Amino acid sequence: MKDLRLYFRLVSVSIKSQMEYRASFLMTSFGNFLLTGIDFVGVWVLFSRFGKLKDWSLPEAAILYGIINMGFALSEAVFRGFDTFDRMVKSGDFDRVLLRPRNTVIQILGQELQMMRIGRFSQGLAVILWGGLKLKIFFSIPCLALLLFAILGSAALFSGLFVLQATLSFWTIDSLEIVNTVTYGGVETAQFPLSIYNRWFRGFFTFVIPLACINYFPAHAILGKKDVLGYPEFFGWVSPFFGFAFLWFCFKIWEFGVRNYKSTGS
Amino acid sequence: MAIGIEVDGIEKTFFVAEKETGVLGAIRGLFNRRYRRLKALDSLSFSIQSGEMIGFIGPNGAGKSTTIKILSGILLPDKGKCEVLGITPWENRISHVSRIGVVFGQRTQLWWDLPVIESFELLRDIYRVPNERYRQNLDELSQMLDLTSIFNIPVRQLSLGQRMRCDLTAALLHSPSILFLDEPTIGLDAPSKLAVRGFLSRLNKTLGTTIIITTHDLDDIESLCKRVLVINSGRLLFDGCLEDLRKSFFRERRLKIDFDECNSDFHVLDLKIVSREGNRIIFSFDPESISAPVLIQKIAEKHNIRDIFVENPPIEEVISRLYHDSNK
Amino acid sequence: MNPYLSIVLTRVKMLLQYRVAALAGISTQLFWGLIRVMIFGAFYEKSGNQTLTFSECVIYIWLGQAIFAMFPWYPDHEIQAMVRSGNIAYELSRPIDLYWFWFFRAFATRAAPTLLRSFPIFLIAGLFFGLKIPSDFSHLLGWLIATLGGLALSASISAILSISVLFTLNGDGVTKLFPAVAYIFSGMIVPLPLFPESWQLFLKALPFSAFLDAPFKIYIGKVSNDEFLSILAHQAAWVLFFVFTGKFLLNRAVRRITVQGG
Repeated sequence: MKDLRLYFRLVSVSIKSQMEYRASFLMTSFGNFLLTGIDFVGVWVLFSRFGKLKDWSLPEAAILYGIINMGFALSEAVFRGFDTFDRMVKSGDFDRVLLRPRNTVIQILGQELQMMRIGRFSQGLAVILWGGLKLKIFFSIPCLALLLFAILGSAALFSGLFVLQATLSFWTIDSLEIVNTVTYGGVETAQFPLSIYNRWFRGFFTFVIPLACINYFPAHAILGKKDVLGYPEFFGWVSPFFGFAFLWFCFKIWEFGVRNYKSTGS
Repeated sequence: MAIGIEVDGIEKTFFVAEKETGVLGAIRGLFNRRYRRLKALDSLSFSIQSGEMIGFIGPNGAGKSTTIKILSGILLPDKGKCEVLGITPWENRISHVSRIGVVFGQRTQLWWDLPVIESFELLRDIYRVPNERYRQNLDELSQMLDLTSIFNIPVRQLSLGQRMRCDLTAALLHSPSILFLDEPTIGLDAPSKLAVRGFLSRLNKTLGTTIIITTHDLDDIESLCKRVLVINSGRLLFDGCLEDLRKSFFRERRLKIDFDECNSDFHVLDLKIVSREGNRIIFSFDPESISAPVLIQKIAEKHNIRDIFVENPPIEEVISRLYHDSNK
Repeated sequence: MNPYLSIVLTRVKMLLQYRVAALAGISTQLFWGLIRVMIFGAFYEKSGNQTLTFSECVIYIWLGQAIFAMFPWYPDHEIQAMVRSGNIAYELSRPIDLYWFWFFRAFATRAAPTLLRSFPIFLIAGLFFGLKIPSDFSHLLGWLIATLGGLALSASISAILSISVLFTLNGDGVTKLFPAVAYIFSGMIVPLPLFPESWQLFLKALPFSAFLDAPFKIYIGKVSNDEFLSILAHQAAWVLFFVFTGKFLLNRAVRRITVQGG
């Protein structure tokens, strides 16, 4: 509880310093909106050329797209401290965190709440609103609740990847781009239904990194669609939970990393 | 007095990845990295009483910051015991770090874009300092360090001297019993250096805060610390007061003489000439084998002397000879 | 040695040191290429009858991945840092033309990683993932020449991005948006032939078709000799345009800096 209060205290400081550069904040948010929105232009071009992607229409794909982009934007904003953690290790700021008598994770999260990510978030929101209105799915409370659950679950999953990336920087700073590949590649992948990919790829994004659980399965439940892969519909109602489980697991690895850091230095 | 810090035989070895040269080497390095062992601390032991003010010196890479990291609980030694104020630093991080303060001269712990006072308030919340004590501490510190006029300036606009004074305050708001300072005067101008030194010695006297300073600026040590610990290659080379350090490692004295005329022939007494500038010549001699008055008398018999000074060699020379000898 | 050649060589040498980054870059590009190939494969499954066949589309994707590092992604980080710290005056004190200095630096910054990464991607994608190598050697050569033109275009755009930092200080606006526009209108996200028919003329006229789309057409041998020359002319026209705009903007910026003292 006290840690939560500290978190909000730190975050309000971070927001205040971002608002010191208001013009820059507006610029970068708008830039982020356009930059990430370009992906949807690509999706739109493809659907307008080919009509359908297997049995998926553009509004249906818009639900997949919206969940993943909103979730990722939330994670980018909130877990910014872990995303840029390698710099903290290099500059010695992580030592400073250890020198303060508070929870380390809270301090790293409190480092920065990156507001400009609202660009990607609102872009995803716009897309999902458009798709949802076309498909008329917003009139059911359970559907809305599941949508929210899926968005939060995907935020948790990407946060887990950021934590993993941060943990890796205790050992190496050169190969962080590998995790980046999975993170950004995951966003790209999940903008389309998982059933279009080949088997090993699907397996990787279902069982190793449970990307399917936070968008493919719940999207089926929301849309009332039959899964060609044969997973039952009810699974989509609970599967976003695996996003949180993944985050929890990544924090366990993180703790191991911190212990190792304390015994080997950097 | 109570024992503040007790270090007993700590050892620490780092493994440093070796960079291989060439493209092939780089590829090989990806799969099979070779490591070099680097012994940073080699059975280091010392103890420090509460309320002492210690200078901790050694050349770059001697193990100073490794020691400080171990003492502040953010690094574990491979071997050895260490107690700070009765507990092992790395065993209970949160209760340990709330009793110490750390200042890095090169980095600030303040929030770059915030006015100074807001950084202080944030630290109050982080360290859970009761409001009353916070206000009292802040009053005292800001008076001693003359901060009140800069409370509302964002940290990024402060001069280095102002920033250092704020960082000192920030590290002391939670009234730590031990303060670690890493190069607190680096880059400061002369008046700021004096202000920092004056503050530290007052802090030590009035509150009895144990202070440990690592520095390359030996003036800091000379003006502040009765006791110095010198380490090199992870070993303790010397533990004692500065005077003893000088006596035991660098016995020679310096005799600086201004002569009336520029004479080239001064080799009469087999004195070593350290330097020579016009009519001024600096000799070195060993006070154990010949006393200064005798020496001066002998020189005065042959030459006309205008002025004489007897000096200790500068402490920098003592230290660098000490490092040099220990590297052999 | 000619100072500009020396700039290119030192920077190439410097960038070639980041081998781990290159390895990571290669695996990233392969991963992305694979995702793209699968996505497009699924789209083609239902309606394969397109102006661009699927196997051509696969070549398009892999060529795009191979030259990914060539894109004008961002301004020169060093120049950005210099502007921020106010040390830009040192750049002005060099006895060479500042514009060409920055241009060649950008050229090297783009060329080195592209060189390093494109060969392995070619090799792996060619062996395993459907990147066909043209049977006619002249097509490959033509592609190489047009890609070199694309590199020059990229350098001229990068130089403008760096120069824009002088006007906006942090360079948040132009430097982020311009690359995004270049990215989608080059065909990196969706091959240009798959865009709506009514857009085609516009897309072709934009400078960004010179990065990937035009060289691709040469690569698969869909280009006559006359068309080849017109592609090079299109590239040259845009390079000249960006070079002159860049020089003009830089002159103005320098005048402002020398008057106001940075």
